[in-house]
Amino acid sequence: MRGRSQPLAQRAAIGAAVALAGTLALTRGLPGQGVRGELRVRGDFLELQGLEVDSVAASGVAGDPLLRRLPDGTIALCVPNDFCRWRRSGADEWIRPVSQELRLVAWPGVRGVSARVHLRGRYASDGAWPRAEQEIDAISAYVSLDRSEFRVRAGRQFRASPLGYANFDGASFLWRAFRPVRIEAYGGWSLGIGLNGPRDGSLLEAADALAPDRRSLVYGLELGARLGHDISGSAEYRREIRTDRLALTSERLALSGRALLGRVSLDGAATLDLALGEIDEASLRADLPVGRTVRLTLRARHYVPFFELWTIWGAFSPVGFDEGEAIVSWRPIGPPWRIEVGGAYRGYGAPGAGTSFQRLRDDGWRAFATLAWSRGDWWAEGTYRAETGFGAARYGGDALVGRRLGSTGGLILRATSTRTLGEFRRGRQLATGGGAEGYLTVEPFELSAGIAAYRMTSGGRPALEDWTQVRMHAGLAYRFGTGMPSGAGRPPLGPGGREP
Amino acid sequence: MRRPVPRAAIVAGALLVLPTRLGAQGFPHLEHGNLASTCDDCHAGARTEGEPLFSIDPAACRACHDGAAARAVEWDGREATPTNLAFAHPRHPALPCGLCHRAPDAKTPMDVRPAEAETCLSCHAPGAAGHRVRGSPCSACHIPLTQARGLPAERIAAFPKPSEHEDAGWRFDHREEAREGTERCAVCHARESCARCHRNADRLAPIAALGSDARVAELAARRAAQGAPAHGPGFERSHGPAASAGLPRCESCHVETECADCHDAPSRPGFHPPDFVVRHGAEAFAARTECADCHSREVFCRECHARAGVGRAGSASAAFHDAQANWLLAHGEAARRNLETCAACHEQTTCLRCHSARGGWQVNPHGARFDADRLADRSTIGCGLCHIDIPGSR
Repeated sequence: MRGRSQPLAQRAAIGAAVALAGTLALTRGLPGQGVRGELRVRGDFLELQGLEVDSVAASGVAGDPLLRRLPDGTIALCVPNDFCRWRRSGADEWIRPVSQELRLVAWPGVRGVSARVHLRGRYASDGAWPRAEQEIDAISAYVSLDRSEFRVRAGRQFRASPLGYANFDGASFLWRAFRPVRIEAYGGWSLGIGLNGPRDGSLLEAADALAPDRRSLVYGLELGARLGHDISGSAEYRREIRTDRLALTSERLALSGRALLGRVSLDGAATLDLALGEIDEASLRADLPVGRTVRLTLRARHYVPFFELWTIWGAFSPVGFDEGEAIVSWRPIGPPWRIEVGGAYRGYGAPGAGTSFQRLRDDGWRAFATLAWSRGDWWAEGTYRAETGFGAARYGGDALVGRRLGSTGGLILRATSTRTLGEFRRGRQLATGGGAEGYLTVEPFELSAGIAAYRMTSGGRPALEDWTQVRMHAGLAYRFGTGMPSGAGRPPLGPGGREP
Repeated sequence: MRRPVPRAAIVAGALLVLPTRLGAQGFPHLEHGNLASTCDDCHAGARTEGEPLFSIDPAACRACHDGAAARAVEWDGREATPTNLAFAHPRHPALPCGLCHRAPDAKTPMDVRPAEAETCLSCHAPGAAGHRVRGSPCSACHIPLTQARGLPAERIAAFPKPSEHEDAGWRFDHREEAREGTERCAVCHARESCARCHRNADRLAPIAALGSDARVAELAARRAAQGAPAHGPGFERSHGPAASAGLPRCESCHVETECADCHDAPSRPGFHPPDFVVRHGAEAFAARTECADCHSREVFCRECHARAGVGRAGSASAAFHDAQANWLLAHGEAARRNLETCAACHEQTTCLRCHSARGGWQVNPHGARFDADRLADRSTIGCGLCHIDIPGSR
């Protein structure tokens, strides 16, 4: 019954939200009771231009059997006695995705008991926005009993761990009575990362012909410990299994550790794919201040992508890379400057595939420099970054100028120019443009809006036309309920989406 | 032959030296040793309440510094520099000025220096290990920041830190000290200092005990606008191990829903810049942050790529990977190194046309280290997608 479980889960979450709100409305006012929520609506207006396949009879194009050039230089894939095909710019189109979010947390008046719901609705003008066809998402909906020695949760809840950020429908029990040690066990129906739904649902079925036809169960155990104030670590084992028990979906182990040694903080993590016997990711990061104004961050990383066992990808023996990264940040005490520079180099393992006469590059690097300034209500930030290597490349920078309007609002101007090179194909693209954003909080409302335009210029691909993309967005948030923290308790509003 | 010193280097050197010279400049007491019999002659306020600390008449200076007998000076008197010291000269029990201001190895009373904190501590906190060291009793000599109204924000920003604040763990360890009392904290901090991280600042008693201060609010807002990272550069992309290890306790400053703000938040802008869609290719290949930690490759990446005409559905319909004349031969190397980006456009069935023992070209996709038995123990269905002799396959 593929696809049915997802609407059921959604309906259950919506029902829980309604029941929660109703219960609280009836019992509101008793000591220890309260409800707090946030309703957020955002609309985007985006201009997109996709690629379309064009064709001409192969007999009319001279050249090699497979790849031939059209008169304007466009490379076409030709099948002898059939057609030559290539991709050209499609028509501009406007899409209008809208999303709504509702977050509720309620305390019924019993010590340690709370209920939380996070729902999301998505709509789009024509389904051109990813996942817009899924109208309602239940991201979380659970009841929690939280005491100093333990915590129990039941419902749809998420876990953030080195194994990814994923939610599941089930129960979890955290025991922390013996303070230096914590143990958490959890289990239930597994949900796909980024899906907020089971893997046998309609979303995955529509995207992949080999999508699982059974749900998965997940269970796991996490053990964490702390040694004094300065050393801590955790280990988590997680196993996901199809409900017909014919196969595992995944079996993984994650290890994490952190040590604060004087002025230096060290943290490291490793994730192991027990099914394939691979170390997917291992990293070690050191953060150390140098004097009062300089901070140095060093990081070494080994990376191999992880794939669930319902896919064939893990059996294709991915090799991944090893990478070293360094970032230096300087923030002088007097002048209102901040400067960061950094870079990384990665080298890939031997693939054991391909041909000896046509090798791809086996390394990559990136570098960036950021200069930030602020005085009074004004601030500015400029970043240049270059990144190239196996697979893709980009060079460019951003410049931002902002002005705070008191403590509740602000205006930001952005300018950007980024050149990208085609991924395993000819051609390059330059995106140049800018925009403006504004945000304002008038308790209990928060408003935001922005507009931007980017000129896309293509080079080396005659079939692609230059065009200008216009984007706009507007959002409104409304916070309500009891016991709201004051504005000073929240992090100040500001522009998001900055790199690195 | 000596190479000429570049002019830019001279200018840069001058800029580096100049502030130091000016900063060190003060009244040369030693050179005026014969002009005053006591300190009070110029610093009446040091003895008498209500008198200015710099009481000498500027005209008295100009009597000599007229440009002829001595170089002209432009000094019109000055106010005492605002401090956050719980100290006023006339209210302090009378002590010889030299007790605090006499320079080491001074040969004359006019060989003076600014007072040093250690001198104060010798009486006010005789057991203290030192100034600005672990546990030093700041409030013995300093008033709370909120009462030091004369200090401008820039000087507050430049406050020196006690040594333990430099420890990596201080950010997470300071709770115990704050619970014991905030007198020491209040010397440098106000509520707004804490509210930068503690979302529940208004409900924590130690924070509520601190006063509110507009200058600190200004500094906090400025740092937020600067994008100054609270955890160090790049932490927003590499915080996973620290968060999993349980140190710091994220929940001390963050609420769980903040995780969803980035990890599952298409409606709340913040993580990616607005034009990320045109530049995300390089980031995806470098896997600086794993896209699949938040996005479904199949449902999110592939769906968008397919609608944009970038991804391929069905047969080889157009030359997308045209940089390699023999992409078919080269793609294996690319796939081994970045399968996740392949999967962002291609369905599994695309690969199975060739890489399947059930049909097609039957090209073996497994690497040399592939452990077939290990995988078969865990997913016979996975094997069964390509092999017909695995029981349990569909």
